[in-house]
Amino acid sequence: MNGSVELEASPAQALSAQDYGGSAQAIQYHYDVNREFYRLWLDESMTYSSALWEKGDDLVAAQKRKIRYHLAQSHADDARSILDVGCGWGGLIRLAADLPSVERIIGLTLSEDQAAYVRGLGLEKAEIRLESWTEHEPELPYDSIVSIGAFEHFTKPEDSTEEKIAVYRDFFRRCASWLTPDGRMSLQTIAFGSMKREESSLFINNEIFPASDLPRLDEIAAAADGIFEIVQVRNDRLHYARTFEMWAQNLRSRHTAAAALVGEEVTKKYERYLKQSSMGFYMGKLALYRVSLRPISPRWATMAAA
Amino acid sequence: MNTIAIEVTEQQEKIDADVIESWCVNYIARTLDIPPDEIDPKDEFHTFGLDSAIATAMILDLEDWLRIDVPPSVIFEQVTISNLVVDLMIRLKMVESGRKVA
Repeated sequence: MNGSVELEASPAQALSAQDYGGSAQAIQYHYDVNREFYRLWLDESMTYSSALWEKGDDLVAAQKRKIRYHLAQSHADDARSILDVGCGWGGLIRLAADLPSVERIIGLTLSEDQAAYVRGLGLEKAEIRLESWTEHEPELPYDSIVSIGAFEHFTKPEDSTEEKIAVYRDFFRRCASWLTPDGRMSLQTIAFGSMKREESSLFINNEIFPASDLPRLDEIAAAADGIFEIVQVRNDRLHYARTFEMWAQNLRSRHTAAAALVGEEVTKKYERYLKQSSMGFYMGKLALYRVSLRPISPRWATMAAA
Repeated sequence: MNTIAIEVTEQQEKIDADVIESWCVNYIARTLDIPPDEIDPKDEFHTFGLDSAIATAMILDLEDWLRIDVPPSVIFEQVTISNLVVDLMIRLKMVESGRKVA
């Protein structure tokens, strides 16, 4: 974020300008806890989003299956360039780097630790930028855009529904403008299911994910309307229930090591958050959407292509 | 009712199915502020008006007390206190036999 914003605006305006589309402070609060702590309960690829389970899968296989799903939905097999909005600890980037046609992968994150970690992997095709999608200016168009588990951070609990849709729409508009006409996008996000926004858990809102609010499916659809065609939507909430359950079990079995790293209180807080999230997905209060999108083009031949 | 007792703590506390059942009944009664005798262990959890936060707190406390894993999926498979207790007793026995082997 450049300093001119602070010089030109009041502190409140500067803060809201910095927070637009996802607060870096809020992201760092959650993701920069301690990488070794996350390593205790995530799988070896450090993938911190819902897996895609099939019979016989362990967590590693189910996370790989999820990444391959998004690579397929975004047509990454034929892509030369890929953008990953919210790249986490690089799980997707690592698999995308193995695709023969791919020449360049740009990963965006607001977490300093994640950026440092993925840069340290030494992936020649990958460039990691510590910047928000609101600041991103691509040098070349992308053939594929993937965003997994970032959308949840784009808006804040105090935003009105109209404001939320406007932010999501801004995101979709930018993504569409960054894509080649035949490009594809794959999005994964948690959303409110049967639960109303007012029923949000204060514990999760204040202690776990401050300054973040979830979308509803109709808000995603309204935001994409006229910009992206929605090709496919899956609600894989039970996949996330199982993923959270697995993480909770991993953390509990490594409780002592976790408490040594981040303290007893934070460890307990995470055990509760992981279990409660699993419950929310089992109950259907929360949804997990995987949305496949293609940009709407005025060109007939583009729209008619498979 | 199952009468097998299992020693689960250093204090040699006897934990049997009846103890766990009354613990669950009292937990829910206390949390929701309703008389324990209004809670039928054969009723499904959702009928008591439990939410995900309370259900989570309950299984976390059960884990601390019994020193076993209680994954959230258990209360969606064993949807009454009575069924949950049967499941917990099996988990306790498995852990107990594991401890003896170890």
